[in-house]
This record gives sequence, C-alpha cells and structure tokens, in this order.
Amino acid sequence: MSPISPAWFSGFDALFELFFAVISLTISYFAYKIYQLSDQRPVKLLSFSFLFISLAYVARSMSNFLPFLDVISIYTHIILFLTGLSILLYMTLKPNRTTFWVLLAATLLSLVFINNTLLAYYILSSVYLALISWHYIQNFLSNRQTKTLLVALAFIFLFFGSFHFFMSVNHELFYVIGYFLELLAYLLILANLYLVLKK
Amino acid sequence: MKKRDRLEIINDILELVSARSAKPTQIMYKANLSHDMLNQYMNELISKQFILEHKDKKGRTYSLTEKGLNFLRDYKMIKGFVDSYGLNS
Repeated sequence: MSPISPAWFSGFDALFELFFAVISLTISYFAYKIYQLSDQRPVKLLSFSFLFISLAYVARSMSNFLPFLDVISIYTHIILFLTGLSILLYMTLKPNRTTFWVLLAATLLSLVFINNTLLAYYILSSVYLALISWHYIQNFLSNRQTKTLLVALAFIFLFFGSFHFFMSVNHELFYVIGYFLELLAYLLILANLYLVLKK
Repeated sequence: MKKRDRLEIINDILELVSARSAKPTQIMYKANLSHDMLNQYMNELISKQFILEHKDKKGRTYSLTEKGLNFLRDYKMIKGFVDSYGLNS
C-alpha cells in the first residue's frame, strides 16, 4: 500500500520537497541564532526539530533523483520526520510529558511491528501534527497576534496535508492536494519569519 | 494587568542592570520580583553569562556582558520568534 502519484506530477514533488527542506533549514538556522542570543532551551529544541524535518525532506526527494535508493530514502525520511515531530511534540506537551513518552513508545512499536510501515507513518504523523496544531491554536487564543495566527494556520495545513497523503492511497488527486497544502503551510511559516525579522 | 512571561522579566532585569550598575534590592523593587524569584533569575543570568556580579565592601552590584547587550538589542526579534511558536516557559 503506497501513495498514488499522478504521472504528470512526477518530478514536481521532488521540487516541492526541496523547497520545504530549504524553508525548514532556514527556520532551524534562525531558531539557532535566536537560541544563541537568548539561551532558551525550547528555542534550541525547535531548531533541532526543524533541522530533522529539513533533512527528512532532502531524504524523500532523493528517491526521485536516485530511484535505486527508493526504499532507503523513504525509511530515512520516516525516521527523520517523526524525530523532528517528536521533538516538537515534546516541547508542546510540556505539562504532560507522560503522554509524550506513551506516544513515542507507540511510534517505535508500530514502526517495528506493523507490516505496512508507510501506513503507520501517515497515521502517526497525522496524530502528531493534530496534537501540535492544537498547541499552536491554544497559543494563538492566549496571545492573539498575526504571528501566532500564521504559525497555527501553518501547522493546521501541515496536518491536513499529512492527512491527504494518508488518503492518497485511494486517489491520486489527494497526493497533489497534500503537496499544495504543505506548500501553503511553509509559505505561512516563511511569512511569520519575515514578520519576526522585520525591524 | 497582564502577567509578564520569563522573557519579559529577563528583559526588565537586563534593562535595569544596563541603566547603571544595579544593586540586588534596587532590581528586586524595580523589576517587581520576590527575593526568591530575583535570586533564581540572577543566578540563571550569571550562569548564562548575560550579567557579571561584582562584590566589594558596599555589597553586590551587577553589570551587563556583551551577550546581555546583544539580548537587549535584539529583544524584539527574540520575543517575536519565541511568542509565535509559544516557547515561553
């Protein structure tokens, strides 16, 4: 069971992934710069999480450029992306770390024991992104600013994007919609960075 | 009145220290912190090298390091980034 990619979209998906990798790496870099200025541990963790996410996209796009590395690149993507999301989740579930460890154990067990790793990955990343989105929605509700709204919307789009990939096992159009939702999410993340850096 | 978050308290302390070599009691009253909270923040700021502690016959005073000055200079950007991702603890 794997996602159905329409033939006309082949190659474009790799370009999308490289674009997501560049934006994630940019966020990771600026988060690290902010960490160096502020010495706040959560900012360092955010930097690492976006670094893992960036590397995950690079790994996934490799399967398009080097087809013989298909299986390795997919598995590398799954491990790196879930690691990045786990770090984000660890930060967002601060008051409830038990939930985090339960989710992490469930992640590792399902990846090892469920035969269809890709299906397990799509379900897990959707659950992770739903929880992370919830945190950012709450963050926006307690601090109503354009910046908090942009980040909340970005993670909501990432969640729906992930959910569309999960649906793409049934219809190829969902595969394309998934990429466009992710594109929208990363553009919002970039817009937020612009607002933060604007003097 | 809105409750200050960690980053705002750190900024308030560093601004007080930058204005002049401040004494602990002056910082405590002007930053509106309890004695315990002040000690906690000052120890953190010293260990993270944002401020330096000076001891003489008159007591303790504090001054900013270059790292502390950089924090104050870029505070708006730091706060914007930290707030947008809900990273304030």
